[in-house]
Amino acid sequence: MLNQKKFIVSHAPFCHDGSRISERSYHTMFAALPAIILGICQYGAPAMGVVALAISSAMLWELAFNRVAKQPVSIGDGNAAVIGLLFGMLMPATMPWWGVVIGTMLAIVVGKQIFGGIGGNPFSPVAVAIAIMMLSWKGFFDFDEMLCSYELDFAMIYPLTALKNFGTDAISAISTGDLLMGRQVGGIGSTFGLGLIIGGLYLIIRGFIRWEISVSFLVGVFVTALLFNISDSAKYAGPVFHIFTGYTLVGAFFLATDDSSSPVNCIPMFLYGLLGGVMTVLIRNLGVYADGVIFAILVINLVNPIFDKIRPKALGK
Amino acid sequence: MNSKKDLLLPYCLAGILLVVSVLCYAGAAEPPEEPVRQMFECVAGKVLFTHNIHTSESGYDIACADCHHHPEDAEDSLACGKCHNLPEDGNFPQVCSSQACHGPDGDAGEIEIEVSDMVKKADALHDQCIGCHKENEAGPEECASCHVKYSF
Ligand code: HEC
Ligand code: HEC
Ligand code: HEC
Ligand code: HEC
Repeated sequence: MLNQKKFIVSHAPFCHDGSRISERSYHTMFAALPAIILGICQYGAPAMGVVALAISSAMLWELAFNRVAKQPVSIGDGNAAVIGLLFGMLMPATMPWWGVVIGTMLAIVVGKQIFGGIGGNPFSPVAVAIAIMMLSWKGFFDFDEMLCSYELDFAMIYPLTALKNFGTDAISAISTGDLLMGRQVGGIGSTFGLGLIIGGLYLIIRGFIRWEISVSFLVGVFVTALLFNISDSAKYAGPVFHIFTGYTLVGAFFLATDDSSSPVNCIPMFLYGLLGGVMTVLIRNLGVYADGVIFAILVINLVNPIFDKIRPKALGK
Repeated sequence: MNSKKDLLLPYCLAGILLVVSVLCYAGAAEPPEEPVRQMFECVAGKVLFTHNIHTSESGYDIACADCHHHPEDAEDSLACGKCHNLPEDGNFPQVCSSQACHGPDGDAGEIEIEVSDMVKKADALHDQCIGCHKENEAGPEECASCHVKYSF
């Protein structure tokens, strides 16, 4: 047995291709830009204020936590900035400043640092923060109420609540083209379907996120929504509507793909994404919330360790 | 990894964005005096009222005075609740006397009124909104077509 072949690993020094966490962070922020810029064009300075405050306060919370916990300063990796940016994308433009500051605290401290910082969080930090905010201050995510004083040149009703309260008649005026081009009420960076898809494809092509998760998430939404739509088309909207409204696209490309809370193997990734999509539509159509993406993502984050058990057998066992 | 140089960019980014956000928040415009849309909150579920569509010519083109009905020649449009509320102490709402039409008890001044003439805000709104929708056979009359069950 002595001359059995073994894996050969060369010894140090290894070469490093130069990539760092910060690179991933800056690419993610870059990918989110088109959607955010459109939101800022639509809602003006208040939207700019929310996004800028979300990014800077997230970084300052991280810095503060580093100081208190006597850790090396970690805002250089850009992860806090990404969390702030994603959080800002999901907010209505009229979010009060203290709501943003509390939200980023929840994301950075409760969502991420308590679990040991980057790579240790079992849930998407942004989803944790939004979920806590939704349950604590319902009014903040009532886009109809928050964006009451805006008069833009498209139907100023939040598509998902209109659908849930009044059925598909209420959304018949909203075309898929409008949804794709961001001509819908919603979070600052979550309405521009086309921009989010381009950003997502960019991240997939550059290898920063896994296509398996995003695609299976969208497939889950599509198939479930289609089944509901076939069963009762007066009450349940079609699959395309569900994909382009609410947080679906942000969820599929930016939240579900969070690295430490998603699976690593191929089949688990498909199951994880698929379950997220199915849950999203189940919550939207049967639950009490107009948009189920945030809760669906927390659910799949929760079952992620179980999916991770599905893995190739170790050799020889 | 954590050299001074690496941290310079994030520190600057956080600082600049903080200043930008303070400027944006401080410069935020006041909401317009004439509401665009209004969200009424009440126990039966929120009601979204499209003030802009009800008044605009391209919308339902309703005259201000059809809703802001009292006094008939009023120049400013007061919120309904300014008059349509019944203070606990049985007095008149303060606007009634401050307009110099009625005295503090409703009897001095030009015109006499009784507190009992006044309906409370929710009833005033129900009567007016649903009354007009019925009259025109357009607009919601059912509870669930105004009051929403799910608001987020
Ligand atoms: C269909 C009915 C309707 C019409 C028509 C209408 N309003 Fe109103 N308006 C309302 C209601 C209802 C409110 C909310 C009052 C409240 O909050 O108690 C309101 C509120 C207002 C307010 C804010 C009052 C405050 O102090 O909060 C202003 C100003 C106003 N309207 C101006 C106008 C003007 C000017 C017009 C004509 C161009 C007009 N309205 C036409 C129903 C109407
Ligand atoms: C400046 C005070 C004032 C304001 C503001 C006001 N009202 Fe009135 N309203 C009255 C008075 C006084 C009466 C009773 C006499 C009358 O019919 O004019 C009345 C009566 C009514 C009635 C008839 C009640 C009934 O069934 O007998 C309705 C409906 C009504 N108001 C709706 C509204 C609505 C809706 C608004 C807000 C858009 C509003 N009012 C604003 C003073 C006011
Ligand atoms: C003087 C008449 C009038 C009054 C008063 C009025 N409405 Fe209307 N409302 C209309 C008309 C006309 C429509 C158009 C319906 C259509 O075209 O299908 C309408 C439509 C609506 C709609 C559905 C379409 C939309 O724009 O959202 C809602 C909701 C509504 N009204 C709420 C209210 C509420 C709440 C009030 C009271 C604060 C009110 N309306 C008072 C005339 C009125
Ligand atoms: C045209 C739209 C409209 C329709 C239809 C309508 N409501 Fe309302 N409702 C309102 C508005 C506007 C208010 C005022 C909210 C406020 O006080 O600010 C209100 C208030 C209420 C309130 C709170 C009363 C209070 O004293 O605070 C109740 C309860 C209510 N509505 C029940 C109903 C029921 C039951 C129906 C069906 C029979 C109904 N509403 C139909 C618009 C409507």
